[in-house]
Amino acid sequence: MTTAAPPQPLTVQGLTKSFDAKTVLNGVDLVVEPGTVLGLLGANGSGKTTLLKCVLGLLRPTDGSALVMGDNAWDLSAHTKASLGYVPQEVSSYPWMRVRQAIDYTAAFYPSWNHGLVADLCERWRLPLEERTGVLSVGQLQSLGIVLALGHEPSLLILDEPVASLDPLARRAFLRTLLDILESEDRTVIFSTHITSDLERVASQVAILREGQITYHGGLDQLKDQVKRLRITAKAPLPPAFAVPGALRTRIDGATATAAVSAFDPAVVDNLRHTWDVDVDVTDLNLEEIFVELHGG
Amino acid sequence: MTPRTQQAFNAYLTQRWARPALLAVGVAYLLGMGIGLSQSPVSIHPPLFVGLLGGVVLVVAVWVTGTAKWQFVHPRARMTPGFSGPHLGAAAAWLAVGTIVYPLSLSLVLTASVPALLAYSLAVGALQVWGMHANRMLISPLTIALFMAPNVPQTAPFWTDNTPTLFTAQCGLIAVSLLALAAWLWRLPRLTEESGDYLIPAHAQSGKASRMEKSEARRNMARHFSRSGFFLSVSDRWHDPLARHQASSTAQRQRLLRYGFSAAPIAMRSLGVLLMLLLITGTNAAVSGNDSPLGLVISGIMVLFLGASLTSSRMAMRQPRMQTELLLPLSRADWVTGLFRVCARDTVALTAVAGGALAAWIFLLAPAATDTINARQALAFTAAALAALVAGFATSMQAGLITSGIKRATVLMLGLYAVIVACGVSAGLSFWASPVYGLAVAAALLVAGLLLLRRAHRNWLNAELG
Repeated sequence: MTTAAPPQPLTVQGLTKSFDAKTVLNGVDLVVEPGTVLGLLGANGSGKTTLLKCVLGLLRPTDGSALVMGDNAWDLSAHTKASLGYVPQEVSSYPWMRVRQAIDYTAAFYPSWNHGLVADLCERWRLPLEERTGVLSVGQLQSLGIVLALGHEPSLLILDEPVASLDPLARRAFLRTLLDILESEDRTVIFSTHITSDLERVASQVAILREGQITYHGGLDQLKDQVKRLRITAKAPLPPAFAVPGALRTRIDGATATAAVSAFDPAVVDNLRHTWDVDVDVTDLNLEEIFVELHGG
Repeated sequence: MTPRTQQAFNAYLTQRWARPALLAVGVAYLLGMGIGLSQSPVSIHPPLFVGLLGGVVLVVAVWVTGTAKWQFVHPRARMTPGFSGPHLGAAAAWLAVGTIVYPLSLSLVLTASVPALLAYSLAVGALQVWGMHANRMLISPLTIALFMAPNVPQTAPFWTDNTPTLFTAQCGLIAVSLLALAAWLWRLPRLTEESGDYLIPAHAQSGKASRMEKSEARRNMARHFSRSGFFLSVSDRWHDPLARHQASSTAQRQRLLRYGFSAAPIAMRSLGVLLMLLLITGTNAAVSGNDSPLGLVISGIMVLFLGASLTSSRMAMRQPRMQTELLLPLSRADWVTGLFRVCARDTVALTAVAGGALAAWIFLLAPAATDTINARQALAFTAAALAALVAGFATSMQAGLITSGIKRATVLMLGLYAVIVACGVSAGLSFWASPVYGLAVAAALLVAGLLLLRRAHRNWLNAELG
């Protein structure tokens, strides 16, 4: 007797979302395999939060579909939600509740809750359990939001800029916690962040959202293999017509030029050397530099 | 007018509805004045007094206070050089238009004493401004009592007659009210975060408030709660048992949702509503006498309005938290149904307490008011009241989807007025025609209420809460 394969954590097909006349997401396709840590990158206003909210059923897609663990995102079952954790960009809590009461309130809903993990996280992030959540700082509120999302040990964790308001210590503690969580192969994490160094530490895959579409989705290492910077040095000033095939941009400054390429091919480098009699230096880029180059910075 | 001053004035008209509303009101006013000036002066009837003057003053006071608080309860009020002058000037000017210029213009077409008109408008305006500014429960019933005072036979002469004694008293009231308004304008630029009245409208938690405004509203609410030790201990005693709670069924999870609405359990909130109702009814009775049916009807209407407006504003204020609540282990349908059930239970409890108190008041202190009602009529009235409760609840749940405070209040008022009119028609038919006709209207109101409730439920199911 064969058992059915568990459904994919996330399958998005042709997802489109418009607000009045403005189209924010324009035919997004994305499949996330179990055990993936997917970093979602995009410029401000590219639609990252909108995509995450459509996937969670907080916004209704204009077209296309999103399935979370096999359920239609707009109509997630209680069982699916019990395996789902979400930290929004703006954490909102119950101002009159003490921190411990807010935690107890959330915990009471779930069939299983790891009180030990929660206590450990509260201690790591120095959350004041007796304070009313209304007087917490933005960073403390964000920490509380993360605790509430992790307490039931979800198999799919979705984080929308979770560390934006955390101090460096809290950020490190969060990344450490995330790495601990990721030791379990069943866990899938999707998080959007502008802090690319954090993504590089934990993400195995990256999806880049640009103008409402996913322009890249794949391994972080593959992305780094594809996007490179070339520094070209010639013996004489380079002509204005000098161009690197497939370059995102080329800057010529006398006898030197720099170019960023999105699909690095060693044959192109060899061709440049032979055709223009130049030295070509190939530089690896970190994720932040890749992001800047891909967005025309 | 300097550009800065002009901007300060325009800040009152930045909302999309403000300019068309002002235009419509202006046209109506000019038409009315044109007609009034072409006729002989009209002697003022109390309901006209209250409606033409009191209503406008209240709206202006709410509008100006709300806008001024938004401007001054913000770091920019302290950090921006030259901020206070133009903004205080604009607030003072708009208040002057509503409480001085407008009543003076009415005096041209009405046979009313000018000091009386000014005393009334300035007193109502000052009470409403301070009530909103300080967010103190005790001021609201005073404002309502003063607002209704021209309608009450015992106090109406103060606002319509013209004698030397009354003139002195009216001038005294004008002076006190002007001082109160000046004190408010003096207070605004001196607010600091530690001040007890450093509050911005509660609806900043919902709607299109900015991140900072929501953060400020959250802190102010927490500060507001922490002022009362008794209240906090009640809140803690209600929430602490959550540590030992683990829901194991959908119904149990739905019941848990009641904690996310309010800091206090329904018993405490019912007590608060009861106290407010007793204050209002007591004030009415003290002014007009226990046996005044009008006072009791007003109290009955307050019961309906209170329950419905509390429900809708609580749903609206909960919306920012719904983006995470929607992901609790409940299906969307079960979560929405759970919220409806909690709200329904609370509304019934609040209405039962308030309605019971009102009934006790009638039977113990004002039995004469019920002498002319027989058992069948009483049954028809009760049926109408229950139908009104259902329709009022449905209206409030529908309005709770609206995050803008003003839009929500407008929809709620229009809906509840329709319910009250239907209820009034039912009661009138029961009293003057036959209880059977009254029951028929009540049944129709109940059906309409149930249909609206179903629609509200569907709208919540389809709402985008992200």
